[in-house]
Amino acid sequence: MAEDSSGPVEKNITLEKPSNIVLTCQFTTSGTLSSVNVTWKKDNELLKNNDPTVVMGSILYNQYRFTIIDSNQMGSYSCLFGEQKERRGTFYFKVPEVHGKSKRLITYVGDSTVMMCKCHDCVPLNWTWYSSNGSVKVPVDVHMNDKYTISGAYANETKLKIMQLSEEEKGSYWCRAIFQLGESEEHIELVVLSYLVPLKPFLAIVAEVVLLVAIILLCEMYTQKKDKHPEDEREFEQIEQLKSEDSNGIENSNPRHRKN
Amino acid sequence: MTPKLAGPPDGGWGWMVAAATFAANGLSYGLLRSLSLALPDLAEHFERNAQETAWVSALALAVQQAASPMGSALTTRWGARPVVMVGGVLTSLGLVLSAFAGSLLHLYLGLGLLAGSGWSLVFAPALGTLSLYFSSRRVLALGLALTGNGVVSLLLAPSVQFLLDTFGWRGALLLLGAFTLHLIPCGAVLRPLALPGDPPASPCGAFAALGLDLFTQRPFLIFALGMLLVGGGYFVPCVHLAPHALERGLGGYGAALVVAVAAVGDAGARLLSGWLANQGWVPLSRLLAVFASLTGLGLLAVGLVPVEGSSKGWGDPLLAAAGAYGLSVGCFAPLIFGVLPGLVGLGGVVQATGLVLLLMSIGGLLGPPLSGKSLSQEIHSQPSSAPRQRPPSPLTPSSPCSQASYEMKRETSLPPSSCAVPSSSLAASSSWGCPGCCPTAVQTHLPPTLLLRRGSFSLFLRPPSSPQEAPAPFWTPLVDHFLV
Repeated sequence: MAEDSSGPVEKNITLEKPSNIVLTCQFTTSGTLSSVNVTWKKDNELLKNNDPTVVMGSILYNQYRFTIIDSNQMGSYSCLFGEQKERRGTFYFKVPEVHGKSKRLITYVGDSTVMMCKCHDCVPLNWTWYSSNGSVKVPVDVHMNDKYTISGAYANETKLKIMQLSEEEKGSYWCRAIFQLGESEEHIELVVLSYLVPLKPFLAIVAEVVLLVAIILLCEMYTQKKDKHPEDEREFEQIEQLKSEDSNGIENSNPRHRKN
Repeated sequence: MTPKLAGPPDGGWGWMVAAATFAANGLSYGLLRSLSLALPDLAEHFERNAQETAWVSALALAVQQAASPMGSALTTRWGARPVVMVGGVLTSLGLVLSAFAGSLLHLYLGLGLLAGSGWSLVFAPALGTLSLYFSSRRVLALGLALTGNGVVSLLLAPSVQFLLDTFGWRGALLLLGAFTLHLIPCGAVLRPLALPGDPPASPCGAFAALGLDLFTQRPFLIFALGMLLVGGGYFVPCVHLAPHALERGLGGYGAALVVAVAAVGDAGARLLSGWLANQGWVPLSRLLAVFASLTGLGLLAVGLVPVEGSSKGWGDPLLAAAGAYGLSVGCFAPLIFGVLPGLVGLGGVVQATGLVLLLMSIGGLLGPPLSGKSLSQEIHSQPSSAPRQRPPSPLTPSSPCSQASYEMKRETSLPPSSCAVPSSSLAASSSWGCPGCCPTAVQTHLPPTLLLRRGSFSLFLRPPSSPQEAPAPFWTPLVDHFLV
């Protein structure tokens, strides 16, 4: 596998398996090229490079070949040009990242939960799970009465299933992917609530609904009573009017009109 | 001294009923739409893929629409108020029970069956009652009430997300169940109204209550068949719009924006169209035909619009087409229910609503998968780049809606006496006396002269045309929601 760098000061490289690496640095300058010195460093440690510097026009090329076998050789590699004004280009070697869930996982007492970690475009050698309360990470014990189950449908993902959750099991959980060249972890937070937590808002809403229904029905009964009362009043007034018109028959010469 | 029965109040308590129907529409369709936010959490918890969890909301929607005639039937027997209140209790129960689900099957039963049948008891009776309370301002009230869907789902979406983040999906379902209890006050608002033309007695016989005899009337039959076909095309963008946008390379947020634009256009247009139809500038039936054709054109536009999306761009042509589709569909929606009183009379409105919803859902169940299937067939048969062909569409009717409006015009011009149907045939069947008779309370509202040429408008209902090179068919079993 050959790697190139030409211009940008930094480059991130994701590496999963041991490979042969060729790093190329390209340096353009307007001054004299022959006086430029090239050095390679790994994490500030000077490296020995046998490859000669190649000059093409006004561009300096220098390569560094090596092999990455295990995690000791991962890190940052830099090529440095010149002595007075040092120009530096850095390659960062990392193992692939693992992705879990960015939000908290909310569950309830007695519930079960499934936590998943996934690695895109990479296949770890192994997965492990840890739980931590504070700073100490304790590996998850799979063999203890079916409580924890680690499974994975594909090699690039892992699932931790926890049954019969209790309040003490809340906290941080870590999934770790192990590669030949190192490890990468992801953090998932688990929250275990008791059923009382949503119950209070639930009862509040139910009470509000009951109140609304009562108000609506009471309003309706009230308006129905009001509709009945004016009719009774009107009838009463009509009777009164008839009585009074009867007694004042001669005085009242206006034609009788019924109030409606 | 009995008070003289007045006609529809056209206001007053009617506006309260409109508000209640707005809330009912929102709490049924709107809530279902925002529930889809919980589906990824459910898929993760039960370790199933997205398609299987999508069936939960698809099942709820299917049960809701398919059981609507049952809601209408119960309403004719007992009135809208108790039915809607019972529906609210059922739905809430379904949601609360599903909060304790131990498997996806429990969710299918709780959310799908129970909550779905609860919702079916809510929508048609509420809409029917609303039609009873209004005469000249009916379509405006309908438009107002139907915007409940869009508004509530827009408001509920962040709330559901908040509930999911705070209480998890179980707590969220529990609290949504409590929230759905608000359907009970909505039902309480639906005061029974005594109108002229009401039947003296309630129907005897279950089938009579279903209102199946409404199909014997030619206008309604044609309209219903038309709605069946409309259902096939109407819902296609609901299912396929987001995958279509994603497949054109728009990226997650771009696709969400497209769907949101369609939804907002839909909600706004319902109100506008209700107001517009109410002004009476254009007769209802003509408006219906125009908007139906516009919907078809909108569907075509969404499918045909060339979109070179990248994940950075917003896919403006597709956004515009989605907005146009949303607007046209929104204009169409209130009119579907607005023309019903003219077709079947005020008495049959509740039953007609239920039947129309049922037929639309049948069309909706068949349409999107069929369109997806024909697309995938085409993709398989033309592996290399070929000129764009429209897949063979099963949904190209020739102007059923305009035929229905033509029939409506014929009916309105007949004097009431000629509508008399022999009573012997009715005694066993319908409860509403004489569905063919023209209730005078309604007819005065429709203008007498409608000049509609038969076949002048045709509905183009074709699924979106397939892209040239599609990596995989985007046929999924009803992953999104019907919009009513």
